Amino acid sequence: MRAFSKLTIGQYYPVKSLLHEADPRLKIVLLFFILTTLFVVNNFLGFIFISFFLLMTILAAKIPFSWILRGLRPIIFIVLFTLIIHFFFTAGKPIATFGPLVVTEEGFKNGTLLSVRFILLIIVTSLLTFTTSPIELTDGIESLLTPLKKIKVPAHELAMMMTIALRFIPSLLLETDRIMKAQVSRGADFESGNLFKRARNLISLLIPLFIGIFKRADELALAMESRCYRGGEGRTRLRVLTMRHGDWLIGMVTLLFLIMAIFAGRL
Amino acid sequence: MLIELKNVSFTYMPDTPLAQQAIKNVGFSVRTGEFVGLVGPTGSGKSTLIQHFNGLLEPLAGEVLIDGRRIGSEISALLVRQKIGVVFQFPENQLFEDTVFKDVAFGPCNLKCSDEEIEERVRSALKMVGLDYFEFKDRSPFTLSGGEMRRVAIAGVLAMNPSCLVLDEPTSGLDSIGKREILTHLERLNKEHGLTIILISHDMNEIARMVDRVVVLNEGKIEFDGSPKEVFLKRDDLLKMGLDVPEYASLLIKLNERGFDVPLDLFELNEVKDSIVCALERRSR
Repeated sequence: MRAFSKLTIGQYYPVKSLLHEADPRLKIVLLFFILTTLFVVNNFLGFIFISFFLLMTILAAKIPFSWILRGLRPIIFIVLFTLIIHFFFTAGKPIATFGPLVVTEEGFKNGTLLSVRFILLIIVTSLLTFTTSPIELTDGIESLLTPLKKIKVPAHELAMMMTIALRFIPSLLLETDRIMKAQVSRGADFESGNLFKRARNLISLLIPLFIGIFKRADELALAMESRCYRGGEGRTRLRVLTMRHGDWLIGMVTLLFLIMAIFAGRL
Repeated sequence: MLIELKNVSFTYMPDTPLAQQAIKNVGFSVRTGEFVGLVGPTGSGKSTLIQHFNGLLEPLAGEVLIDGRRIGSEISALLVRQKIGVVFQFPENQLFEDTVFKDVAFGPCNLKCSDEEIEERVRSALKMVGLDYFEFKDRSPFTLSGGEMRRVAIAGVLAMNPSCLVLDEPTSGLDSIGKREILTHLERLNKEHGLTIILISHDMNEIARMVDRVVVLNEGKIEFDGSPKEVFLKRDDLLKMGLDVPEYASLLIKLNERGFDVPLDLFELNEVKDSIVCALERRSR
């Protein structure tokens, strides 16, 4: 459990801010645009534009920078790896040498650009999850997928599945912890021993866990049916998503920035 | 002392904004053969506390001694888990083997007992919870009734041959027959086998009738520690914490307040009835 508590990526950060209150559909669409821009932009000037924009967004979202940095922790290794590979293994004009290794100008440029792009990618995506609760997120996805119902995309069912899955993650973690402790109390050892013994002990955790999951699923289905759930057809919602004036404004400002970034980025 | 806690404190997720101190400077010990009732409102730290008894949680401050030896440094965690058997809430959720025999044998197998010893232990553990060995050993635990499943799970812990059994609400969610079955067997284990028992329960009638000593935990601290009579006399304090008082104790206290001369430490129906009849007769004379 302790390992999970350090991961901020994908977590919701509950404060009140302009960005938290914005329509989730808007945030998803804008995320899509920003991601596209990140791939279109191909020089430092463009990235500076986007970074400045993200800085403003983070401030507006009232997310502490330490949270953003902690969200980046899991990808440090990948970024470093990308940098090193590009620095030393790109053909081109040499600018520095470390023993047998040669850093080329092209390698330096490509490596840095790619790393910056990757870091910004993670920051933008985590901004969405920091400012949007899972429920809002699935509501937004459902609403955005609704037009696709015409071509038989089960939008409501997908969203409902996501909501339920998200809802059960903490419960399952808790359940795992509980069963693990019960088996450890009976002398099970999940941490040492040879492969065979460990696999055997894992069975004592997995079987009760699966039985529990199926039981929960059964009970949930029953509870939903007894409250007359019959799929998305004709179902009204408790929270109706609405685009407010502020949301339109956020959208405009973002698009403006992105257009500028693209112009600067293609120079 | 079988179990001894010295100034134990424990905090969940320390050094984060979500830190939560569950146990605050608790000192507490249990002697061999005692039957202790551990009570406290929801969230008072009972479940956290019992996880210290067998080394599942390490105290942030203070120390836990089993038989006078410190867990981890002077006595191994595996040995502690053999000595102190912990039965968690809804223990039937831990069953996983296809036969009752194999499931009860899980503990002794982990202790690397010989085949004969395992069979012997399973046999006696099932007997201790009142399940017939030959009738049940080859059945799947998942075809049993709720009460039977729970007893198989308790047998699974008893098969470790512990000298102390810690149970977290062993009767919750069972029908009255299932409850009675479990409680009578616990009582027998304590009286006949000399097993030390620590019982967490919300049912104060159950606690009052069975245990020798009641420990009240509130907000991570021990509030009261004494005989059922001593503790349940603090009726007002207990009610304020959100705890119940046994119905009989409540009745006797109220009668006493109205001037009836009745003893306060009775928790059995017949005794309570007799004492009230006596008091009424005395008054009418």
